[in-house]
Amino acid sequence: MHEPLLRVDGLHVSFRTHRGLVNAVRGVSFEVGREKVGIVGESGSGKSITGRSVMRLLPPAAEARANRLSFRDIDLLRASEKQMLDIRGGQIGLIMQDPKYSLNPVVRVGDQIAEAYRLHRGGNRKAARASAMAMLEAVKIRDPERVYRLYPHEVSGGMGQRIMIATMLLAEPDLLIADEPTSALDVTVRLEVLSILDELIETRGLGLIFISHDLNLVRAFCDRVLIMYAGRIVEELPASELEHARHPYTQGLLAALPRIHERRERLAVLQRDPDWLDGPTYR
Amino acid sequence: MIAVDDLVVSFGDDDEVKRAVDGIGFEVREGETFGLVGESGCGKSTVLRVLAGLNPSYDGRLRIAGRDIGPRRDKALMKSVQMVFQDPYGSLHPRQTVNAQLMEPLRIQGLDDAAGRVERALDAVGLGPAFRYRYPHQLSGGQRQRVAIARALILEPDVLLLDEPTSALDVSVQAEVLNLLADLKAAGGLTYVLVSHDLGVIAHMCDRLAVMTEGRIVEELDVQELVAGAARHPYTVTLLRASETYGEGGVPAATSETNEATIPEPRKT
Repeated sequence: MHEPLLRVDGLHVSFRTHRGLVNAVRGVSFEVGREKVGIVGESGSGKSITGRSVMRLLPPAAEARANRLSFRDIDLLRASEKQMLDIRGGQIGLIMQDPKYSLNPVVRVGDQIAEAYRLHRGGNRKAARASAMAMLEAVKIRDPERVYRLYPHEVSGGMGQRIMIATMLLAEPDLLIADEPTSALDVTVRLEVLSILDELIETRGLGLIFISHDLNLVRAFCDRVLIMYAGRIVEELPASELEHARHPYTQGLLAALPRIHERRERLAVLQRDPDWLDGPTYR
Repeated sequence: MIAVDDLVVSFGDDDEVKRAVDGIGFEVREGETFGLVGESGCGKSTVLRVLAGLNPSYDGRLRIAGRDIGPRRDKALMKSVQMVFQDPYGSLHPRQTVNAQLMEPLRIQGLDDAAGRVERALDAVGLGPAFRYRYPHQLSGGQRQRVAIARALILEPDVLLLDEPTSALDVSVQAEVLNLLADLKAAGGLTYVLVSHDLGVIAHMCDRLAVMTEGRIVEELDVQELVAGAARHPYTVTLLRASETYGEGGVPAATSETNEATIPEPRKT
């Protein structure tokens, strides 16, 4: 691994609610270089909040603090809002779950891609259009001229997610955060989108944080996996060694998966141990 | 238990008719778990809605428990076929207690001993009597899906239609709900039709399955055949390979070319 792009040390995020403070993220530390890092966890484990903290896109009720939260040499907790505007999209890209909601429904998809280019790279309309078109080709859209003119409701889920990827990569960020990028897609389409994402990340040498609830997907796609439970990273291991996970939570998740080639009478049910909240972690 | 013959469901107006289900037929034996697999828009949920009586406009023949079914159903039939929906956040009434939601089908069917039935139904899905007067927002996703299952079971149906019952749930919760469904079936007398896009879930739960694409069944086979790699239709093979590729520790290798070649383009009608 080269020099890390992102350094997170002791990240805490808490929400003020009417029932008092809720600690969603409790002391998360990790680094990401030019590699694919997966963050896996269940709903409410704090994985998405961790991703959002990096972009400083937390709701107003949330408060984040950390010993260190830096991208290259920029302190993300202290950066001005103006600096953040450049970082969001320009240096760190974010791909969200459902393209139906993340694309503007009343703007042609091509114009949305071009807008990202003009926002971060400047230049005239013509140059922006040309790069948008080239990017559509890069995400393997066969007829970019036609797709450029479509509105979001006219494209399929898989196509929409490719358009999101195109929009995010056009500004040439160094780090990409993908939050459940394929959960809304069918299995075969999912593979297509992933292989496109994979190719672009490899050829451009990007860093990727891949947030997902799907252990299998992360195992197949990422280099390294962080397992989150109740706001902490309870285990970190190379994706290829997931079978040898040591934390009972990770083992439980693996055992609970129905598998095509391993028929069992009953699926193992995760017995949650209160000790996991503050117990040992395996890294 | 269920026999479907030449079922056609069309949506849209005269000049823009889309056949969501395009002449399919299959049979489900008593006590069996039958899977319907396919991608979004292939018509699998529509088939389920027709079976449940939620989609009264269709062509074709339908037999359930030896009776020919017309578009109008009587109470006895409605009682014998119940459905569990995908999203427990959407399928429960947000402002009614669990008790009120379980009582409603009993009232409609005019069944006696309502309180006892509610208690037994909650017990059967592993929720204690403490859950009886809670509202959906006080329940987790898995607990909500249990309530939805209890609501379907409270009428003691013969057929349970399951539309992606676990796809909105975390894996660990999914395991609990799938185990519960298996236990309920083992307790006797139920036939399941399970719709899912997850071949792992299908392989775990089902005896037989039908693979749908573009409103048609392209292949019908035993789960053992599927697992043994005996699927013949290229679409089934693609689906299986896609599920295996990331499902059991491979690397994504498929390119857009290989996938698109085997999935038929939408037909123009």
